[in-house]
Amino acid sequence: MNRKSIFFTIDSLFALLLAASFFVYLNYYIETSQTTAQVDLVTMSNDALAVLEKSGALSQSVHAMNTSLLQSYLDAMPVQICANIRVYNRAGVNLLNAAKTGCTSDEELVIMRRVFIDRVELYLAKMEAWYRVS
Amino acid sequence: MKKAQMFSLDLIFASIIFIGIITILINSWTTASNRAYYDEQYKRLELSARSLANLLLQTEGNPSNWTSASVSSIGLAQSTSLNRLNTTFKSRPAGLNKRGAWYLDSTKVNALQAMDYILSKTLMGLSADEHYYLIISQWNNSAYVPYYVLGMPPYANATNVVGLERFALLNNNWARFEFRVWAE
Repeated sequence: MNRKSIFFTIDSLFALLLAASFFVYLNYYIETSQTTAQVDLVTMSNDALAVLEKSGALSQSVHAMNTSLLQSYLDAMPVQICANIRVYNRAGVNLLNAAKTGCTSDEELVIMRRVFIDRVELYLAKMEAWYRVS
Repeated sequence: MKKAQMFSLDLIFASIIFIGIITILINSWTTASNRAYYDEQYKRLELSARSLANLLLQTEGNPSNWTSASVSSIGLAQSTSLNRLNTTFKSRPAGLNKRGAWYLDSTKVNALQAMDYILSKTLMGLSADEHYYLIISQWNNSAYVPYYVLGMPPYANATNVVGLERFALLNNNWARFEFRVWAE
């Protein structure tokens, strides 16, 4: 009898599957680290609204009904960030709109809001931010 | 009667394949564990950078009128006390005043700049092989111009560098806060 032995058994198949699944899991674990990009957008938008409110830029803009200050601020934001700011009065009427130059809108938005006062009137500033796609 | 021959062609092939598999496994394992280590380090640095940026921009430090001699916690926000008294344990209406979070105190920034680097690093909770680098730029009506540069710039061969960009007010002007935490 001259049959060669077969090394490939059910045991080795199980071992192979186990090893393969271990490496697939390891690879998956390493690859899927949580993205923190959204957190950065939230932080940056929050900073932007706080700075604009505390520097008086929001109230000056509403008072003069002019978006040039907001526009300058948005245009000086990092290149990869796109954003727009809308200001509403207490009745919800949109008073001002400013958007960063050269940005088109994207679906993955971060929205931040901040209430501010100008001459005893309450206003709402809403900022939408997203990452530039191209 | 012939003696059995242990050293066959099959065995050579099997050994080569086995050694090949073991080599690939060891290489994969080393690569995977290195990646895991650097990923973990990056996450740790990212967390440190975020916490430190918040600490520096949004707190006054302790005491709130700290100097390099009295500091126990670093914060660069202006004290809510107009006459620079320690307000650490006093309540404050922080929402409406023009001081506090986001208002950087140039005296504190200068104090941090003049402080011994190792001491400042220790106060920020960074370990021996971790460093910070901070550039504070001020708006000049058309662009942000660097005003303060603190800490140590990353080495060319730094293992991980985490960068953050935040915004604040300096001397009642818009300011950009570029903060990097990096590991040797």
